[in-house]
Formats: sequence, structure tokens, C-alpha cells
Amino acid sequence: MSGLWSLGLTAALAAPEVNQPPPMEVVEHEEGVPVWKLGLTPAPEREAPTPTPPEVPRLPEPALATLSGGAEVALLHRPEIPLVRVEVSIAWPGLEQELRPRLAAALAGDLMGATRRRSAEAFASEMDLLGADWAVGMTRTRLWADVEVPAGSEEAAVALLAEALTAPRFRWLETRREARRWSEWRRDLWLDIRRSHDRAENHAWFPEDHPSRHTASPKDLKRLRARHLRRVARRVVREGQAFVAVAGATELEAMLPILEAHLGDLGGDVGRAAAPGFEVSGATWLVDRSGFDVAEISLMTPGPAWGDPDLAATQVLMGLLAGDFTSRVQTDLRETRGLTYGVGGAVQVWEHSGRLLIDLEVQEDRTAEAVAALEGQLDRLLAEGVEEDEVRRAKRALLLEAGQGVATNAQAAAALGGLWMHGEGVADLQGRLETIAGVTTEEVEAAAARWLGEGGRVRVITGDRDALEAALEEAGVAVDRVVTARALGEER
Amino acid sequence: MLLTLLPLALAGDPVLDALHLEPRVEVLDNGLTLILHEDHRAPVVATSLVYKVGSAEDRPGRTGKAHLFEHLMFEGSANVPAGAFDTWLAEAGAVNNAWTDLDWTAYTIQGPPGALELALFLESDRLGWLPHGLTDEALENQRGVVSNERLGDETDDNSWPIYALEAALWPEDHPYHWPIVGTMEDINGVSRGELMAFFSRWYVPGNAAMVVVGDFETEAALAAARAYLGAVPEKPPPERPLVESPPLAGEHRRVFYEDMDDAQLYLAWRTVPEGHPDEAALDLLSELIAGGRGRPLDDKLYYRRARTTGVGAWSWNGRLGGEFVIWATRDSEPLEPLIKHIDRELTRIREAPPSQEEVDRVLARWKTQTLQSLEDHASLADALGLCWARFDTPDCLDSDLARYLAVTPEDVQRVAQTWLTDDRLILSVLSFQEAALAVPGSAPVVPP
Repeated sequence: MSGLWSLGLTAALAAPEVNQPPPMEVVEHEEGVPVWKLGLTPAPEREAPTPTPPEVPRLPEPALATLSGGAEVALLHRPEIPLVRVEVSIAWPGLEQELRPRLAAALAGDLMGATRRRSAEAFASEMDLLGADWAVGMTRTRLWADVEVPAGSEEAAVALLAEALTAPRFRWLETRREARRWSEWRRDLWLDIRRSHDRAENHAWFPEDHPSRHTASPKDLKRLRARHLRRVARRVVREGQAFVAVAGATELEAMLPILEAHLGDLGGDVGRAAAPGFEVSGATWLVDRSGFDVAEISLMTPGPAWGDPDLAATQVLMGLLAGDFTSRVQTDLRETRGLTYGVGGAVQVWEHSGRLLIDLEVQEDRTAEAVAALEGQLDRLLAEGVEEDEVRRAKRALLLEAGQGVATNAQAAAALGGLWMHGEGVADLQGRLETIAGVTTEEVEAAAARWLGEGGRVRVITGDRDALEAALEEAGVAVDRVVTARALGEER
Repeated sequence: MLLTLLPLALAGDPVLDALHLEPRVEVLDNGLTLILHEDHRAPVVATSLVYKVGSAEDRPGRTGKAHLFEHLMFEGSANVPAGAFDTWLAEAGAVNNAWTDLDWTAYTIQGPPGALELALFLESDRLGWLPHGLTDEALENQRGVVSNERLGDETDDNSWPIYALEAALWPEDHPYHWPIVGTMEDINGVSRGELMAFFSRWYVPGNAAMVVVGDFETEAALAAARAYLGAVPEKPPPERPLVESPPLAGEHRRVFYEDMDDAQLYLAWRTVPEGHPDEAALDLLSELIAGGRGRPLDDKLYYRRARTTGVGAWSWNGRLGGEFVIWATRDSEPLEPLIKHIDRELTRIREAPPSQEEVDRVLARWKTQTLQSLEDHASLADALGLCWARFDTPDCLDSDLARYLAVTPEDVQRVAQTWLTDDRLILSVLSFQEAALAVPGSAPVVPP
């Protein structure tokens, strides 16, 4: 590193009376502001230490039990911090293809907390006095409820949580009010460029009749009644299979009597049906939303479904393509070209389908350049393959992420619940980490060839049509569908 | 001003016991503070290198320097070629990041224990010899990255109004007036020389603390830290002048026109700097008045009557001052009627203290949240670093919580009387087409 010390730098200080620099030579003044010459001291030559290669993290094994009603229990003993977290999951029995139960479920999740014995305010107050961090909600796949309290308050907290799940109260006025709020939010969706883009991502990907497609309209919401919420909540609790994850400063012997007393009746026997798979064909959507200086870009391709043998290799592929700061797309679009603040990359895995997603926000006048650069990275990877070094880094990042993903009680409980939803346990996840550690460059290249081909790429670009259309055309991006954000907002 | 001894009544509280950490502290000859806390819950090590500098050290016409500089810290130093900072850490199975606040800047690394020595080396090299490796090309690229970061904020209904709020609440020459990320003009105008002078002044060992938390052995980590960070040449630590921030005089009505889903209303007061005896009571007041279901503003404006589409409050305290803010959102209806409802609740608290149960509810949640924030190594490292930055002691976690546990209902009433007065800002944020819904008599404000 010899010679580095001979560099000279100048520094203009805007407010020298406040921002006094260390002693340096004043060499000139510029518009009344002194400019200083920094004489750099020589830098010592130092070698970076070589770290020991990281090992595959050993995930903690939970203690397992089953309650009398059939609910499975998994408990991770973490005594260091005096908190206990309990998360209950009840899987949807069967698959609801109809819109109304799905909407009713989502709305019911928003309103849970009031019970037949306690008003919502009284319920919240009692939880507060326990120091409880709690929430209840319903998604397309499960009803969930979680609570975290200082150790010693877990029994009272579980009792309240069980009451919220098994004796919810839905009233006409509250239901109408919540439906109206959702309806207004839904009506104004087009005003926000990011929400418009999210909707376009959803509609460009999922077919019209798929349960994951966002289709709620103000009219649908207006038709919802409290009885619909009651019915769906009752059915899920009565019929759905149940799981309880516990993480924190408690042990199975202490928790089982508490769980049995309050959640012992949970656990139906109707299994969850998987959402159907579907074919994806490549397309490019341009969503017209002017008034912003940015454009949103998403590039999606098909990916592995749950249980697909290529899942681990695909995760490594996405890691090296659009993962951390060393990944290809981050390095090119952010670090080299300064085109974006950040790139998001995800492998989204469902029962019978999967999706690889890369998204970013860019300055509007550089949208075409960003799209071309992004596509170029995919094409280059397909043409030239991947390097051993980047595969190794991506694998290590995934292993670190897995270890970090169970660092807190909330993360650990959520991870256990997520695994249970897919019929898996910690041993399965541990096995997947071993698989990731063993992924080869050839396997990554095979996954790339399977998923990243031009024919399956779905692009969604949201911004000002007048500013974007010609530039995209010039860059060779053929747009298949142009839709205004407002029209998209009204589309089912 | 921070309590250093716990009140007798709080001794034996298991939450406080859990927060009572005794990290190893050593000040190196060059002035850098080392804070080491072994925690073997998981095979992970987290570092947080905190510097006592933030956007408050920027100046009007040269805003965003502290934040842009944070980005440059990843672009190479004397013995770390461009791009190698991230790549070497990734090879070690570690990740890194950084954040710039108004008052502080922190650089974080998390990875397996085997990555610790590399992390210490990298941090020492950029602290000691950053300018030797930084290129003009890297600076220009990061200008682009940061410009995009600001544009992202401008696109965000939750972030962009805050630019207007802070600009309207603080005088133009107060360091909390301008955004952390800086103005677009300043981001693009600052020279490499200015940035290097900024580095030379603020990035010195005596202005920094390296926190290491996780699965390591203290003596070995100390030896490595001494070897790497101790090699950085000593420079005089900078003075950080205090800036006066008196309360607002009178009621200031402002409006910010911007396309929004819902119209937004902010009521804001200037309050006290961090460490002030009223800080804890102000924090608890914000939770007590609008911290969720069962709290007065949430119930009366959102749950029982749909007068708003959202409501909340926050109290924030920095080195140079604090703010208390109540916000509410509304869909296509005038904002002014909401002020009457909010004022009614404030009057109630000013006239009579809240019940002990109301305060207990908030305190119980506060304890849980404090513990939760320490669960992972990275958060704990940041928390210890901020203890050092704010209070010059790395083990403030229990004594800081004790301040909150000592707050009485009368304290909450008193801070409402003292600080939430008629001297305040009322800011309407809505689209120009809905200008008629703004609080009458509001003068336009444009974010810097």
C-alpha cells in the first residue's frame, strides 16, 4: 500500500465557527469559506485476519407434547430473559374458495379482542396490566393469536388469549365500522404508488379465481355482517387443527397444565387443503400512476413449491442474485450505478407453486436503464453460470439468517408455527440447512435454468406512463398491458 | 441526570435484575471505549461501533453530510479495497449495516464468533485510514443511492409529512429542522473534501465506543480489540456544542400540501432533551393517552366513534431537545374538529392526574417492551452503545427503566401541564384539492 499517504485532499467547511477542524494548513478560501488541505499520515500495511469458516447452526430442539383435544405443543426453553411467549395457530379447515368467508375471516381477525365476557377495552386493559404484548389475527391459512408476558404472568395471559379465540364477540356496529374503514382504504388504494404496485404484482401473478388474488371490493365489504364473522370464527376454532408454540423462561412441566386448562379443547380434525397451482406465462405490465419522481419495478418468475427438491439451490440462487450487498443485482444497480437505495429479493413458497421476486424503486428517468440492467443480470447468469465464491457467500448468508431467525421468542415461536403449517418440525429445517450447506454451483445453475428463463418472466413497472413508455420501448422492453392505477384499483 | 442507583423499592424486580448487565469496559490509550458483554445464548457475535455524531452536526446549506458519510464508510479504506468490506464479511458468514440518527451514528456487524476478529480489523481500518481508500467514483455512486433513499421517503405517506413536521417545529437554524438524509441540493453539492473534513473531525477514537455482545471469550476479544482498534492514531476528540431549543411561543398553524390517502393532523410541542427529569413521564403520557385500545384517544376517536382513520402519539427526546406529537388521520373530512376532542383529553389530564391503574398499565407494557428489545445480540449491542453515547455509561439499562418505574400519576399530570401548553404547532397535511379541510389560518410549509 505504499504511496497512499501522498494523496492530498481539500475540505471546505460550511460553518467554521462551529465546525472547527483539527489543526491543518489553510491553503485557500472559497466564497468566504476556508478550504483546508489535509495532509494524510501514512497508513500502515496490515493484513486482514482470516476468519474460521462458519458452521451450520444447530437449531434448538423443542420439547413436544399433545393436549387432550389434539392440539400439538412445542416448547423452547430459553431461561435467560424472564419473558414467556405463547403463540396459538389454528389452520383453516379445508380451503375456502368463496370470497365472503375469506373476507369475513380477515375482518374477524381485525376485530378479535372483544369477548362475550369482556368488552374490547376491558380485555385490552387486563392484558396491559399483565404487561402483555399480544395480537390476534386471521389470514387465508390460519387463525393465530400470540402473547408475550414477563415470566409469572403466563397463566393469566393464556386464559385471556383462549377467551379471545373461543368466545369472540362481533357486533353489528363494529363490523360495519371496520368494513367501512377497509372499504375506504381499498377505494383510495390507487392514490399510493406503492400500494398500486403491490396490487399490480398480485394481479399480474395470480389468476382471477385464485384464493391469493386480492379481490375485495367496497361492494363485497358492504355486504359483510357480524353473523358472517361469527360463523367463520366458530368454524375455524371448532374444526381446524391446532398448534401451540411456547418460547421463553418456562418449562414443559410448568406450561402443560396451563395450556391444558385453557386450550385443551382446541384441535379439530379437518385438514387444510392446499391452494391450487397454476401456469404462469411471461408478461409485462405498465401501471400508469403519475405524480411521483420514482418508478417501482418488480420482476417475478416461477419458483419452487414447498417440498420441491430444488428449493435449497433456488434459495442460494436468489441469495447470490438479489440478496445481500455483495449480490449481483445489488452490486450492479446500487453500488456501481447508484440507481436505487436497495433491491429486495425473495423466494416465496406456497403449497403448489412458488415465486421468485426481485423489486426495487428507482428515479423515474432511469427506469428503463434499471429494467435493462436487471434483465441483463439474469441473462448473464444464465449464459455464464455462477462462481464458486458467490455460491459460498450466499450459502453462508442463508445459514446466518436461519440462526438469526430464532433469536427472539417471537421469532422462535413464529418459526415453529410456520413449520407446523407445512407439516414440519425443527429437524426438517435443520435438514434443509444441511442441504443448503451442500448446494453446488451445478445445482444453482440448474435451478437458474429452470426458473429464470425469459419465457416465465413477469414484469410490473409502475410510474408515469408518459415518461416511461417510450423509454421502455427504446430499451427493448415490450409492454403487454397498460393499465391506470385507478382502473387497477377497481379491478377484481 | 440519570439515576445511578436503583430505588430500594425496585430492588429484586426480576425484570430489572435481567437488565442489570455488567459489561467489561476499557478505554484504550487512543481514547476509544471498548464495551464487551459475553452472552452465550447462541453462536453469534454482534458489534456496534457508535460515534457521537449525527445529522445535528450538519449545517444549513450543508445538510445530509453525516448520513452520506455513513454510506462512504463501506466503500474501502487503506487496507480494504473497494467492495471488500461487504465481500470479506460475507465470506465469514457475517452481515453488516449502519444507521444515522440526529445525534448518533452506529455501524453494526453480526456473524458467527469466527468473524469477530475480521469485524474489529475492518472497523479499525476505516476509522483510522478511510480517506486512503475512498474513490471519487464511490462518492458519486453513493450520492445516487442516497438521492434514491430520499425519493423513497418523499413517496411514503408516513415519512414525507415528518419532514414538514420537523421543519415547522424547529427553527431554521436548529439542527433538528433539517432531515437526516439532507436536501437533494446538499446531497449533490457536498464535496469530497468537505466529507473528509467531516471524517477528520468526528471519526476519532475518543468520539467512539465499540460494543461487542455475544459468544466470545472476553480476554481474547480484548486482546484483538486492543491490537486492531488500539492501533488507530489518537486525535483530539471534538467538542459538541449545545444548541438552545426554547419552547414554541404561541400557536403556529401550518399546512403541507401533498397527495395523501387520508388527511393528516399533527399537534406538536417542543419539550425536553434526553436525560431530563421529565423525559420518562412524557414517554408514559404519550402511551397513556394514545397507546392503543383502551386508551382515551384511541377509544374516543377510533374505536367507539369513527372520527378518525388512525390516531397515535409519540414523545421523543434527543441531545438538543425533545418533541411531543399527537397525530390523527381522517378521510375527506375537516381536520379542525379533531383538535377539540384531543384538547378535551389533554385538559382532563391537566386538571386531574390519571389513575394509578392507568399508569400501571403503561408501565407493565413498558417493562415487557424493554426486555424484548434486548433479546437479540444486535439490539443489545446497540442498546449498550446508546447507553454510552447518551449517559457516558454502558450499563444504564436497569437504571434507565427504573426512571420510568418511579413515575407517578402526579408526574404525568405535571408534565402535561408544563409542556403540553397552547404554545404548539398544528400541522395539516393534505392534497391541494382538499385544502378546504385544513385547519383554518394555516400557512404553507415546504419540507427542506
